[in-house]
Amino acid sequence: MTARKDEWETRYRKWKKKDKTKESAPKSLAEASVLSRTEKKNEIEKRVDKYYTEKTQVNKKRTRISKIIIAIIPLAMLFFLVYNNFLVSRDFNYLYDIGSEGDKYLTPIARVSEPAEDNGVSYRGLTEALVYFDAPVPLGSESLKIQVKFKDTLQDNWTMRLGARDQEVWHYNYHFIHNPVLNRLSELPKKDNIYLVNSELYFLTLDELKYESDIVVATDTQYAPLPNIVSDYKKEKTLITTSLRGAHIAYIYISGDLDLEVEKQDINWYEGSDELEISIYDLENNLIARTKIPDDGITEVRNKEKAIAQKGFLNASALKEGVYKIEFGNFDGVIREIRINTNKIVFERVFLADSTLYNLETKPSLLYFKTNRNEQIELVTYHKEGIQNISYLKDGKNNLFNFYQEDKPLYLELSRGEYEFKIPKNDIIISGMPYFSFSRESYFEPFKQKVVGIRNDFDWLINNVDYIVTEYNRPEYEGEWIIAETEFNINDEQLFVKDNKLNIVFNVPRLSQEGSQNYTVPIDWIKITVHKPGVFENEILI
Amino acid sequence: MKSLFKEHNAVLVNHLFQTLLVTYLLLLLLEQIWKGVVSTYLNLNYLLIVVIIAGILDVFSEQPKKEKERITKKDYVFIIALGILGFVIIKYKTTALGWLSWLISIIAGILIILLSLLVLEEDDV
Repeated sequence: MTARKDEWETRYRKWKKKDKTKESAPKSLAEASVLSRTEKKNEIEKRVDKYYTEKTQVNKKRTRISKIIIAIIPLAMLFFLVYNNFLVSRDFNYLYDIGSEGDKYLTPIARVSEPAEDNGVSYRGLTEALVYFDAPVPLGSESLKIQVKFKDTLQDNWTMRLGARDQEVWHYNYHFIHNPVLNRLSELPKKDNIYLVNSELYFLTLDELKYESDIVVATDTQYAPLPNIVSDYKKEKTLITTSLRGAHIAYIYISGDLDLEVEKQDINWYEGSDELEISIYDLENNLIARTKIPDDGITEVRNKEKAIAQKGFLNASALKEGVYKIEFGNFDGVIREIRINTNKIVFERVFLADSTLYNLETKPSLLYFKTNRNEQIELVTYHKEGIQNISYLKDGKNNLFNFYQEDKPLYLELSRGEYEFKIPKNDIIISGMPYFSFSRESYFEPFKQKVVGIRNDFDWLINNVDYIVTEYNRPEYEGEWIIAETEFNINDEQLFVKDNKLNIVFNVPRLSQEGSQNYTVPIDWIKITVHKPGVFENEILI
Repeated sequence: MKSLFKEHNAVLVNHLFQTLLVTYLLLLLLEQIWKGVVSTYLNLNYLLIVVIIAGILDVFSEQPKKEKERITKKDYVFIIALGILGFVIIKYKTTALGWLSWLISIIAGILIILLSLLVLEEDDV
């Protein structure tokens, strides 16, 4: 376009030059008239020329301004994004209208009912214990508040928890959103999120509570106890030959390299493959090492046959001296033998399995533990083979406990002291506040205090716990419907956010129990509020 | 064919289209690297619609006569930089594939450089 303009300008100037040559010719009357006309013409041309120059300049100026305005568009967008992502704090609200047309929020779809309506309220019912949904989590978000409107159809002390995924594997951090037992918390004195259960003790802040020794804290939060330093730790081999059924959690005290050897034997009572997964975690719940002992090759039910024993190894190197957690995953079999290169190993709960019931020789098991307070341990068996008389030594004095019933737990009241149990026939699950070891030598207290989950039994809490730490909020009741809420902190609870999504699970244990096939828990809606702090808000908090 | 926009307006439409297109591609790249950084606040599809409309208007506008520009050393440096950038982005996005990620990203980086050179030197051939 500029080239064409230049061409016109050249032609115009040539013509003008030619016209000027004419002007220098002699003048007659006619010529004078022509001259006068020429002068007028020249004047017009000058004006046109001026107008043209001015117009070009204005256009150039206008183009420059317009280009600047256009350049502002991407800059404005960039500023908008920086402002929203980093500078300003925001709350994002999402509403999942369950049961509305085309809703696909809850998965797997086989675990929820078809959409239904109740007095104009559309809903879907949870039909099984674990039902999942995703919550959007924008970059830099700090916390999620989740509200759920559901109906109490189970009419009993049933509980519902919401779990937020906190590991790459299927692992969730749970918060209660419905627990009638916790509704009774209002009976206890409270300061912040700490309820004082043991009236002989006194109120403590969360930081003070962590340093308090020999207490029991029940919690559904990420409250973690501080580890102890063990003075009589030795790096020597420990061999455990007591058979254990299914999943177990052990704590070890170790420094340097870990060598763990495990022998397992499937019992093939149920269909499917039976791999035993063994994982070691540090106290921040970071996975250090994991191994898997494969299935024995029998996936069908063959409970009469004695399966082969298989070995697996787990190694970790350069561990800092301290307490570590070993998780033995659940499987349809027994752990026959554990060899480990530390003299300190205790278990949270034991399922003793040296019994002919599991195609093993019935032989007595020895169990050692200590208590620092009055408390109880729970003993339960699900077979008549497990009914037996259990003898135990308490501070050198012999006692007998008649364990006389199956399917229902029996509780043994304990007072402060050292205990050595001899369980002759096994097939028994023993759990409680103490940690259990299989010899006096391997016993140690991993933590300054015992931290347990909140049980669905208020009387048990009153009798066994000193403090309760919970963020449980009593739900609101709207007729038959209940609105409950909980809040997850993404960083503090180390939640696993992938592709800006956090996987959440409804956990209603009651729905997995026998006789609950016809029950559902109707869900009307889920409201999610995600809070993302801005730079300015963070500065204020600091 | 009659142009919708001429002279000054045509220049502006062309500039608008180029700016919007580069902005869109840049935001798309940011979204690919840090998922949600853009899409949480801005629907890129709306921007794409605006880019397409600006593109259509530009096609039907008076086109300025392009003068042939000389290829300089700067052009080659720019192309190599683009190739390296492409390699880094693809490596970042495919890192889960292990050794295959290296292979894919190296090939992609080389392809970017070769194709850019081909386009750059097209008229000289």
